[in-house]
Amino acid sequence: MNRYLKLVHWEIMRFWKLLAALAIVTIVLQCVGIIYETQRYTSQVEDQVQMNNSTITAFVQQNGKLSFSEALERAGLSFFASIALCIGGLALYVFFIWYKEWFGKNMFIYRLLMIPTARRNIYFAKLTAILLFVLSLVALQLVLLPLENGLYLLVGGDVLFKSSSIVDLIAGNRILMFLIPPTFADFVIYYGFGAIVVLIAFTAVLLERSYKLRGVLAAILYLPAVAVFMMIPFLIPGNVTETYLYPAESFGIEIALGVIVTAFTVWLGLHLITKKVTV
Amino acid sequence: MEVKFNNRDPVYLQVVRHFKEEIATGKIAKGQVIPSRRELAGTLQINPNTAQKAYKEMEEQGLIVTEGNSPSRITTDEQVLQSIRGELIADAVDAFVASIHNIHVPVDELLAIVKHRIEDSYAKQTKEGSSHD
Amino acid sequence: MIEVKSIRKKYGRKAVLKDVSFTAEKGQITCLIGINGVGKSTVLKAIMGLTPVTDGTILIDGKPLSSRVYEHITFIPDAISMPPGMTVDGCIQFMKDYYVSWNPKRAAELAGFFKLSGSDRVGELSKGNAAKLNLLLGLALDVDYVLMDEPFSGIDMFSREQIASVFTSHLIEDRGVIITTHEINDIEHLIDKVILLENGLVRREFDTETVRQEEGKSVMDVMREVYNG
Repeated sequence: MNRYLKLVHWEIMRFWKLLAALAIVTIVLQCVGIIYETQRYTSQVEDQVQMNNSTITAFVQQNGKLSFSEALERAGLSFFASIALCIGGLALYVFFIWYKEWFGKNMFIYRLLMIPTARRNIYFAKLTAILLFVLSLVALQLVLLPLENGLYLLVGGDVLFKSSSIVDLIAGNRILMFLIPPTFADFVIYYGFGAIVVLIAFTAVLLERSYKLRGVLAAILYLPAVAVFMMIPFLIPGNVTETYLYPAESFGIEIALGVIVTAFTVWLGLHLITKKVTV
Repeated sequence: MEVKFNNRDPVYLQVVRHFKEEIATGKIAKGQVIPSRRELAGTLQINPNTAQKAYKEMEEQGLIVTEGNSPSRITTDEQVLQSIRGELIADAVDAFVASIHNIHVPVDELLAIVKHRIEDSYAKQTKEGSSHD
Repeated sequence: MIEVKSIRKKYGRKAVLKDVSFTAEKGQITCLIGINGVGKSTVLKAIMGLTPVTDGTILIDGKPLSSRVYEHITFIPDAISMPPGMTVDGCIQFMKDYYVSWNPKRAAELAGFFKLSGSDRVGELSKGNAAKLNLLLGLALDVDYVLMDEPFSGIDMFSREQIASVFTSHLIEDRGVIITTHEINDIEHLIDKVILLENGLVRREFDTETVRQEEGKSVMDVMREVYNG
């Protein structure tokens, strides 16, 4: 087994407990949210029916059944808090995956940097680990949705509630649409963008670890520099991009710029971890 | 084997001297196999390089001999063995003379003091030796 | 041979190493001596590529450091560099996983000699045992050079003696060793060569036996001369 894969395995071993905790919190929060939502809706309907001296059957005839997709919309924050928590947790870990090596009196960074393998393997192992964590949580969400759909009907019954197909679920919700893009092109764009952000964060950390305060300053300047670079097509005077280029063309340019930013960011990160980082 | 090293004389020479004392007092017999440099380093708590250097010095002085692949032994050359005792005595007396020289003690008085002291010292050694055994 | 040639190191505006040059031979114990904060650890880290130098070159057997060299040279920092939750066995397994030069037989021998229990966690080890595990992780590698940062600091007498005895054993024999210390007492008669550092400069570089033989001085005597004179 080569050392890069060993390092990926090592990163996973060190985070899996926290990842499992995030997964459990997600499952619990979402299930509780769904159960709560069905109860709330049921009692709301019952109240309304009582007030109007009507029947539930009449109510359903008039308003239709509440689909799982609509229920998620109604649940709002109580459901999506878990997703926000996972995103926040992983976002923090993008930094922590580096800083933990320097923590405490037993600094693991000594050992890590002295492993007889190119240092880029350390960098890419951490990147791979982060991407795997993200994808595993997304996969969990994807698996959870149909299960939760089942739970929804089980708890609420099929008088007031009806299920939604996974496609409707995702299409009906902006956050889910973002997490689980409908087309492969969207997937590449969203996750590619996400990966660039992670890479920039890695480079920022390595700048700080190499140059301390000056590095922090450089990292802070790096972000707007990247933003400006990415917006070059829109900054050219005379609105050339919007006037002369087809959307597909400006999209192509953006992809090219994204590749350049990625390449430079990775190069800088690898240069820092190989030559400049200090324990 | 325990040796108290001082820090001002080369350690390897102190090791050589230690061997000479052992030979002169009969603690090591002529022709006896000496420990390997690794064993010596371990027992004396010294750097293996120093042990190596000490053995090299002893070989040059003819104190130990190595034949072919067999382990090194203390020499059986009577002449060398005899000279060790004389050399040790001469060294000690030289050092003593050098330090007492400036005090100008009359020889008779000095010899009396030395006699007294050395008798005490031997007596103590014998007593300690018997109580230990 | 490890060759350190005119290295300089600045932290911000402060020059920690102004001009440091020395060599450390294979088969010898070289000791970097200086008061705390003089940059001894920085020299070791620079040799290991753990901190960049502002100027100068470092060669190990004639070659600059690369990741491949980590199979030939190792560094034992002043505190163990393994996560506190890891067990002694876990640490040993980790080393075995990553280093071709790991010698399991020697690791077992050292664990026995130091009486380390495999199921103990790094974070729960006594200072002495942590230092011993730290030493084990470095010495069980079949490497040509071992760098040790203050192997004797902050541990009890008994552990010190055990660790000192490592220096007289086959574990060190034939390797090139560089150790740093701010107190020489424990090991004065063990070391072959001394580099005295002061204010970022090498004040003196000498062979201990040569100085004893030619000048009749102990390492302490030379240190007194250099630091007081």
